[in-house]
Amino acid sequence: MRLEDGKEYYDSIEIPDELSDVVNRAIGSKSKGEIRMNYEKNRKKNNVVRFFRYTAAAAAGLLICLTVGVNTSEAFAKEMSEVPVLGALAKVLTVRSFHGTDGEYEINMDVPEIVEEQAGEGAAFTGDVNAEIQKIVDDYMETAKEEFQEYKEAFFATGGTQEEWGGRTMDIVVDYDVKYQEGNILSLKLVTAKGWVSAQEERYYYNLDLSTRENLTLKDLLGEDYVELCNESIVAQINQRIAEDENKTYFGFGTGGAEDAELGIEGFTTVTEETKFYINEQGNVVVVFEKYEIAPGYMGFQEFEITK
Amino acid sequence: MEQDIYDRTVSYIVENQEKFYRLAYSYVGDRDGALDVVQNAVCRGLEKCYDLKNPDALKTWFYRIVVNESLQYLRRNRRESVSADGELPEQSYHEPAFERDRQVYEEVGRLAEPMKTVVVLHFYEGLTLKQISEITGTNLNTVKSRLYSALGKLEKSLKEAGA
Repeated sequence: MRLEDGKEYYDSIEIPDELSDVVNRAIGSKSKGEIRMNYEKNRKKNNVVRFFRYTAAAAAGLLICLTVGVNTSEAFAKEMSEVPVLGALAKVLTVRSFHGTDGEYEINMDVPEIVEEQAGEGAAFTGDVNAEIQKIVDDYMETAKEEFQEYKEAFFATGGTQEEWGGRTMDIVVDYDVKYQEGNILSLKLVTAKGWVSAQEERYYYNLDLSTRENLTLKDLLGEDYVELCNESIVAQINQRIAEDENKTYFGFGTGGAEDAELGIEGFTTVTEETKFYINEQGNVVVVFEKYEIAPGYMGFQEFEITK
Repeated sequence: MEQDIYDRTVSYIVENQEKFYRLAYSYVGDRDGALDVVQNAVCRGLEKCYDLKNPDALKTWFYRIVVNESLQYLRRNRRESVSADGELPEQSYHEPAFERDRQVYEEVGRLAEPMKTVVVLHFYEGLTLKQISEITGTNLNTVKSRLYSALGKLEKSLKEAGA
């Protein structure tokens, strides 16, 4: 027996004419820039988390206070009147707001600040948080604008014309959302986003205990065995979502799961003390994973409510 | 402009597309299916190319994607693709000299999964056993023992078929 005999047959497998078209179409289906950007974003994600955790409380800098308005969320206002202790502790105000065009940038910005009713010992703690938020926003505006200018330079340097460029602008969004506020507990979400070649969004969460002046952790809220509790719940929810909707995909789960593992694509494994979360209206912890973190990009941010 | 891993992957794919097609065909056994597999493998490979830490591993890395895509295709289409007795789909007409080749090739096609991969990659694609162990993510000894048991099985089945 000679296996080499089979090779001749193998080599004679007819190559269809369409092969090169199919290959070229596949190559052209996504641009190099897009692939590169997805990869960079995936990689930077980790750096953003680190940045967020270790930002030193820097001076808030010069604030352009265009408007100052009390948070007017109806639910929040109602709660305020019903729970007197809450009003006594803190309010979330918009300290910086700008909606409009600034040169080549379309800006929609609402920057929050936590204001304690009785400025006392606690003010240093919320002051640090406020300073961190201001710094995130300032840095974000700066890098977004730099990125856009680099892109513009590259566009013209590679032979783009003024006509092709047209009136391109970049959208920059800064927004916030009070997720939960009751008694001394405040859960605040800060969002930064930009849109130009593709849209990108970052979310930051602040879960504060204003009486002890501490950042709340998953362990504080769910107890010692928070890791097991979250992991069990998240795995069950992922499996349920896949079962209910075949268009949902999570790395390492379902039919493509084994293949993901072989290719070294890691999906959800465990929560850690660094996992992002907020507290929802019902007072439950909601764990958040970024786009690409545990699922393909089209799935977007992934949230899992953990009920005790 | 400097060639990065994306450009290298693209030119590697374009140069070797016929090999990928044959490899896919040897698993899938039909033309449209093999084209599907190649298409998916190219998309997948390019999407992941920046994760490839060692550009010298490009070849084994991409073969692995083609093999994985082929197996996934078979899993998805299992019901339709293989008839009850495991007969391979009809081939186009070949010269009689090909008959013996065809027989060997078909017996290879009937081998169980991990053995078949070793034989196809080693004898038809000319990869070393070391490379195959990287592609399949198994250790070298496992690859060797799969190869030996594949050879044993082939010898037996070809003898039975009177080849």
